Amino acid sequence: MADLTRRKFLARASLGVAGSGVALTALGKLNLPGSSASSRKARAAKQGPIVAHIRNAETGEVAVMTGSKEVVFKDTELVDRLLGRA
Amino acid sequence: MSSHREAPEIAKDPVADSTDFYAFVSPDASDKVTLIANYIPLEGPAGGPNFYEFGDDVLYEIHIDNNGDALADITYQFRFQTVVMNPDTFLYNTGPIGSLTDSSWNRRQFYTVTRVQNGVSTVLNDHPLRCPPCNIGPRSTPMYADNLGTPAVHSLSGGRKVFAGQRAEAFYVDLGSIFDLGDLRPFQGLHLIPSAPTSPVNATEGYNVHTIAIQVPKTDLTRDGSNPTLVSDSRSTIGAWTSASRRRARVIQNDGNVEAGPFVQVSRLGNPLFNEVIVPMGDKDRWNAVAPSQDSQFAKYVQQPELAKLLPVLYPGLVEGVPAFKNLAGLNGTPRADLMAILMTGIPGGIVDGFQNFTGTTPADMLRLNMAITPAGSPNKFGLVAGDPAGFPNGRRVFDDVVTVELRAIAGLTYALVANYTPDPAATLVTDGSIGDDPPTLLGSFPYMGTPYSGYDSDTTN
Repeated sequence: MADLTRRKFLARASLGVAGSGVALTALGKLNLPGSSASSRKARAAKQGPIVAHIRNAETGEVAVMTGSKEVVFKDTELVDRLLGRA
Repeated sequence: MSSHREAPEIAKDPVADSTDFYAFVSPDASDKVTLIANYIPLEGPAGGPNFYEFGDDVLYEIHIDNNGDALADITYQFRFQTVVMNPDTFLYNTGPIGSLTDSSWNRRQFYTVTRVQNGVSTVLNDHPLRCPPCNIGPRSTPMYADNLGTPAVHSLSGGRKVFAGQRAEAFYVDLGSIFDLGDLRPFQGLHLIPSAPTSPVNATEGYNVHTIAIQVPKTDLTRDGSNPTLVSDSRSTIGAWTSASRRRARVIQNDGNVEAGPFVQVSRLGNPLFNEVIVPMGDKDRWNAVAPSQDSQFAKYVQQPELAKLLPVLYPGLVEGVPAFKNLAGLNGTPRADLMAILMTGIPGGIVDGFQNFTGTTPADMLRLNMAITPAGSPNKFGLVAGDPAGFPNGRRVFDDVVTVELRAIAGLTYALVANYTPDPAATLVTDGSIGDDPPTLLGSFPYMGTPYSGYDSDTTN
């Protein structure tokens, strides 16, 4: 976990193909670097499924999980957008 | 039961539900220790067509603490993978399974064993290891022991052995009696709601479990790699427990579930009956989720066990002219230092002549084994309290009558070891009520657990 910064993790999460659909749609709109279709496909193949979990909507706490890793961060703006779609 | 269905949440997840945990110096290889973790309670042998198997999505582990801090210093991890040879049949097997490689065996499991120490993981197998099939019956799994059971014992590097697969349940207990308001034989007539004596019943007889067994050199387990020979040496004693964990997240989909995130512990087991009998309902699920190093929060339940308070109430009848548990009633409110030693710290030196399995003052539910004590030539199923220090609570052998030992301890028998106290006569008479003298046939060598009951021959209702 320690080798994975929030920004790197979000970048990887935005490339995912499975998991929590609403969350990933929103994460994909973060417009992070390296998110071209070809690189997304290549990295998704070895990434495996990704699951995003809003742990606390009030505080904006989100957990993003892939493989055996989990990153927890706070982003009230993101959570507000996700909730707007739910 | 020992730990079968012992907590509300894990009772709904049998694949991850640890049932029994054993640790003992191997009687036929006294330089090695055998660790056995059983899972999946009360398998009806005829339970097909989808017979029992380990969870591919479960991380099974056996942990060793060798320096007394109740943290795992060494962990053996077991991961399983199921392979279906022919998805176009509903059958588990399409003909007799004559060997572990027989093409008529449709649904198989393979596994890997990983040893973790100081954060370094080492895979101990050089190819996927085969589980045996379940024991279906004489047509499907003929000559089960020779063809399928024995070949499923695999040698690993470093003089280790491993087995993972179905075995006959070895734990014995009169469940129907005990859970009917603590109706303990032979005292039915003394119960608050008395009944006539009836024949003992082993409620687990005829059922199977799934066993993970590993045999390792003692030097694999000590803190410094030494060979333990001195009982009084603190390096000789280890604490051990098993756990099962699942991924934190699971998304159920029509085209296959998605799992992600770190493994989260959902089941654990050290001493038999700890979570089952000691921990109250409201804390059982939490107990399963935490590590032994966090067990100080449960010490109050060991010091004042609910069952010790119940026995004098449930048994107002007389034994030898006095209430059955009169002296035990007088202990109400007294912290049970004997139970704390047996279950939470190990027994320090000086209490039982020539014996100790003390791991330090950190209270933790671990099965403690002093590996310097050699296997008994004539084992006694009541273990240490019957003068056999090679048995429970010095580790636990497969045949040990742990229910009776713990019942007697809770009834006050062992309090005399730590205080000026006279146990009630009833405390030396109470048993688990089962036919513990006739457990299923055990093997004389690894993995010791007996050949599983066959589905065809089973009369267990599924």
